[in-house]
Order: sequence, then structure tokens, then C-alpha cells
Amino acid sequence: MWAVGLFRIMVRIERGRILSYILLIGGVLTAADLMFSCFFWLTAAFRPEQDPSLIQLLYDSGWLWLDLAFGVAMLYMIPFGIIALRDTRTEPLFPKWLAWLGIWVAMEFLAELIMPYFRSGPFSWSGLINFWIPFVVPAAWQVTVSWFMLKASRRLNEEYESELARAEQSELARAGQTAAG
Amino acid sequence: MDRVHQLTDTTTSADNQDSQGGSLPGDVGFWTFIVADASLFALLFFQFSLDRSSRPAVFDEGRRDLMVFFGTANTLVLVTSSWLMAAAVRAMRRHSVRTGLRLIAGTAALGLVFMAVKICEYGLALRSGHTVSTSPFFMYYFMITGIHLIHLLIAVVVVVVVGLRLRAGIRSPLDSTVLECGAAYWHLVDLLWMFIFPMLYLAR
Repeated sequence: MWAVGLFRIMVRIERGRILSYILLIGGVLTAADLMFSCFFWLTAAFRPEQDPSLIQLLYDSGWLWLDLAFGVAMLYMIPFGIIALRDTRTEPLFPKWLAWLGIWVAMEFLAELIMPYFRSGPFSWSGLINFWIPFVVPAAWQVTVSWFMLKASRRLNEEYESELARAEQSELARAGQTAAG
Repeated sequence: MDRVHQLTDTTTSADNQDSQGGSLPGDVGFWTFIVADASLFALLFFQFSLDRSSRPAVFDEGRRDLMVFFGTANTLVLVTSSWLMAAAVRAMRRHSVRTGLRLIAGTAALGLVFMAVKICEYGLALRSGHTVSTSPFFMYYFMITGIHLIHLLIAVVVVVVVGLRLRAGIRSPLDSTVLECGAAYWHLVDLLWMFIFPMLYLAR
């Protein structure tokens, strides 16, 4: 839902729309990624009396899936950054620092790919690089983007209405000219 | 101090170009990227220091197996490359494209030298039986220098692409903005190494 909302705004900024579609797909895949991990963990919790090693297997699968597949979030963070940077409005709908922060977060997700090689330390799934930073910073980023989305949609509405009013006026002016002519 | 001054110079000029109408400007916003990246490394260094203080013997043993010579050589290489990069930006601002191009080529070449030295170093470390999983020191060593190396690779690619475009005679405001952002990024990579080198190779 969030991705659709963001897509609707980004389409208004971007001319080609290709990046906007990539953004939409990225958003959908990221949501699916979270869903699958929850499904693994729920399966683990469904029969708590079963073999503990099986529970561990499911638990591990959930985390590996979450961290490794979470990289698809790049598919919406990088297009978001590029579109927002390309915004030619004098006051862009999204600030440039937010665009760059999104691009940085997306690059940081590359570090997730080394997670399977570690079971402890900062690069494991509970560590600094692969838990605290890639979950806290993007969450903060997402909240900030949402806030700017609300502002942007208000501004886009105003732009649309003023365009409508201008179109109506020129229509009226033309009607007046033909009447006078 | 001089470098800091240079960096601020770079931003303001990128800014001016932005207001002149580039389509994808690497403006002040790019500094968010740099600050975020530097903070990530700072946190990583902090974690390294914490782990090191809990097991000083293991870390010291690992450090003694590194060859300071390689680290020192690479420090010199990177500092020189940074200097060339700054000179290249200055040359491009004076519109002396030829000098600028030569300096950009030099910067990229030194970046490649750094990588080559690092790869030799990795080879030697692997041959003497150290891997990511042998000791916490070598875990940090390979990971920190590896992430740093990826940063340098990105910096080299950016600089080379801008250089090739310049050689082909393409000079848009976007190119100079990218060059200046690339220079800022290059200095970041250099600055990070200034922390990594003493932390891994020298600190007892």
C-alpha cells in the first residue's frame, strides 16, 4: 500500500516512469520478503513440542531469508533516490539528503550478503552491521519519507488545482475572444 | 585543515552548478551519504575497540602477523592519490582539461595500485592460514579492509567514467558535479584508511 502511494507520487515527478515501476515492484517484493520470514517463524512456533533442531532449522531459515532477500528493498530505495534527485521543481517534493540517505541504505544492504558466513560478531544477523544498522536506519528513513509523502501529496493536489484553474481561465479567455470576434 | 577547506570548497561549487541547472546534481545532499558512511565505519571501529579490549592478547597476536610495510606503502599511495584528485578538481575548475585528465588518470592508477597491494597482502595472509573465521582479529581485518576496498573500487569506477567522458569531449554540469562528488568520496575513502591503518597495523 505504501509502495503504491509512493509510486503515485513518483510518477508525477518522473517523465519516463520506468524507475517508478521498478520502485513499485521493489516495494511489493520487500513486503513479500517480510511475509515469508514471518511464515517460517510461525511454522517453528506452531508445534513447539517437536524436535528442537527442526525448530532451529526453521528459525535459521527465517533469518537467512529475511536478511538475504531484504536486498530487494534496493529496488525501491535507489529509484526513489534517482527520481527525487531529478525533480526539477525549485523546491523539490523530497529533500535531496533524503534521496541520498536512501541510496546509502540500499548500498548498506549489500553487507547483508555476507551475513551467512558469520554466526556471531558484528556481521552476524544479530550484530551491528547486519541487524542494528540495516533495520533501524531504514525504519527511520521510511518514516521520514512517509512524512514527506503526505506533504508532497498535498502540494501535488495544489499544483493540480492551480493547473485546472489556469486551464479554465484560458478556456474562458478563448471563449471571450471568439464571442468578441 | 587544508583538506577540510578543500572539501567545503567542493560543496559550494557543486551547489552553484546545481542552481545553474544540472539534471542529477550531487549537491550538499550527497554529504548525507558521506556522513552516513563515515558513521557506519565509526560504529564499526567502536565495536572493534570493544572486542579488542575484551581479548587484547588475541588481537595483538593477529596484529603481529600483519606486515606493516604493506600498510605503510598503501597509506602513502592513498594520500598521494588524494592529493592528485584534489589537484584534478582544481585543474578542471581552471578549465585546463588536459592537466585535469592526466591527474584523474594518475588518481585512478594509484587506486589500482592500492588494490593490487591489498590483494597481495590478502594472498599472503591466506597462505599463512589466516581466514575470516580463524580469529576475531582476522575477521575484523578482512571485513574492514574488504569493505574499504569495495569503497575504493566504487571511487575508481566513478573517477574513470568521468575521465572517459571528459576525454570524449563531453562536459556537462552533471559531469563536473559528479567529479566533485567523486573527489569528496575519494577523500572519505582516504580518511577512513587513516583510521584503519593505525587501528589494525600499529595499535598495541
